[in-house]
Amino acid sequence: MNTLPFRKLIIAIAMAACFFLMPMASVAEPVQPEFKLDCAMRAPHHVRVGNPVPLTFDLHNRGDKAVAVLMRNTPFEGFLSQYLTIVGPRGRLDYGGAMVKRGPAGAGEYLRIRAHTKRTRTINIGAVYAFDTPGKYRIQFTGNLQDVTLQKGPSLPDELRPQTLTCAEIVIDIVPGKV
Amino acid sequence: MLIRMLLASALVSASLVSFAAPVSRFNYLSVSIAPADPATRADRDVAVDVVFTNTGDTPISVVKWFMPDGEPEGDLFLLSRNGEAVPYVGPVIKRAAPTAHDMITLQPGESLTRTAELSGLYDLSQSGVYTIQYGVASAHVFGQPRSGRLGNRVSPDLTTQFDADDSARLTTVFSNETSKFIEGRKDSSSIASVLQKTPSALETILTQSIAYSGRCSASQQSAIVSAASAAQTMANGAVNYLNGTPKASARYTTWFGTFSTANWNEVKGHYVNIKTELDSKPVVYDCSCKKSYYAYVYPTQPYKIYLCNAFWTAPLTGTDSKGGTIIHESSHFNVNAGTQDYAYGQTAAKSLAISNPSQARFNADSHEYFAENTPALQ
Repeated sequence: MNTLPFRKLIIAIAMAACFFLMPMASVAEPVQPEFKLDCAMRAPHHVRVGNPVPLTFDLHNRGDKAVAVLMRNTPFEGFLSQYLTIVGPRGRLDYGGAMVKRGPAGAGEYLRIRAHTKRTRTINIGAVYAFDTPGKYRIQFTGNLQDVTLQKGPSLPDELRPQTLTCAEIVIDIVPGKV
Repeated sequence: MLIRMLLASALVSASLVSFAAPVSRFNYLSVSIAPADPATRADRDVAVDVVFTNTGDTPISVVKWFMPDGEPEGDLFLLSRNGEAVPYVGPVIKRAAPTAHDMITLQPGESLTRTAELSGLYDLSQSGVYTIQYGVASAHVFGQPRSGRLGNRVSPDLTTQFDADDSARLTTVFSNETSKFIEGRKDSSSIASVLQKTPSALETILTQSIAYSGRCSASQQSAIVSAASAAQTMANGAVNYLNGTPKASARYTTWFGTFSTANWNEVKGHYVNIKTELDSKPVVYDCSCKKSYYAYVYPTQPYKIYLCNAFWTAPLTGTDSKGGTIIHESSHFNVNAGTQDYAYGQTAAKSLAISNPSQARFNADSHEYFAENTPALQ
């Protein structure tokens, strides 16, 4: 049986497929920079009822390039969103801060972190959570990074690169004492 | 009240001493007032133009909060209607003693015109001809401390008097009087004028309880009524849609991701709560925010919504609209849905629905976009 025409047909189809698929393959593979960011929270082990409850938040850039991080939904912007989940002796605490609807991010909302450095912010979470009962309080970071970029200006709304951020949970012991 | 009594007595004494001889320490500040228009409809701001002129030959430093500039500065005017004093209902502002940064200096002959917006500051609920006069009494009107008895003055144009009380060093400054017709703000004629512009607001006004704080102007109040009505329509639309047969529809999955009947019902519960708020709860809209945000709330404090700059320029309906902003903010209240802001904007909200549906079901913008439904999905 002469199979040559059939082979030629297969080869032609394969070549055509390569011709059309090769450019598509190169476009479909975005270069995803690997942002090596991690966080840590610190707080005093014991805080008296009624005293400020300072929480220090560290954001480390473990990568080799400087990055800009949108500060929304993190402690770096203060209390404009709810990025902590706190569970105390009486259950989950209500967040008493603001929730803000915003438009596209501006340049001033980004935090630049140089390679292999960290940025730190300390906030008084006692201002927006009621630590009014003695006992242990578990604090989890439940925010996220809504955009991480290598560029200096803000990303366009369609070009945001969100990234999850996991911090180890911490525990604060609220102890009785003078208010 | 005390200040108003002092102002009233000062007005009487000024009429008796208008020809008092000048003394060595003498400041001339002429204040004149004119209405921006002779009559004001209920849905319009009540604006008056106030002109401050230094008619003396030395510079005058005036504490800036006695010069209205669009922000609430306190009780700077005397209003009356049919001879009856009109009460001040605006904010009472506690201030520290003025510093050099709080002064505005007028050079000899220099004038400064400021436009003051009075609706929201005075009880303008009744229609009628209002007499309006600028009048303040304070120990801190002028920047430099003054010593010695000043006596009573009348500036050359007879529009301003200065009166220093020996014990309190109280200075009073008055302008001329002007009159204008003002249509009552909260009576039936006010509602009628709003309805002329937005007939669909009828149901809102009849069933909703809307209150204002933070000195909402008449035009802002009108915008809020329309926005609340639009939000009500959106909430009704969302509830009606979700009352249908649960299914993996494009509209649901685009904004909330993976379909299940339980997920569908969870989201439906959120909109039922939001609809209840907009239909029958006392919602307070606050206009004091001057930030670039659309709006904000405190989730533990239903149902007060703080409206910011981006809200006023947003379209009434559609993507990131006034109506949608109210849906967004209402979803934050813990009693409604207790949503978070995991992602802002349509693109990010769509991505969230794919990557994390459980967060999407508690994301405020996802609720807003589902309710706005622009472009429309089935």
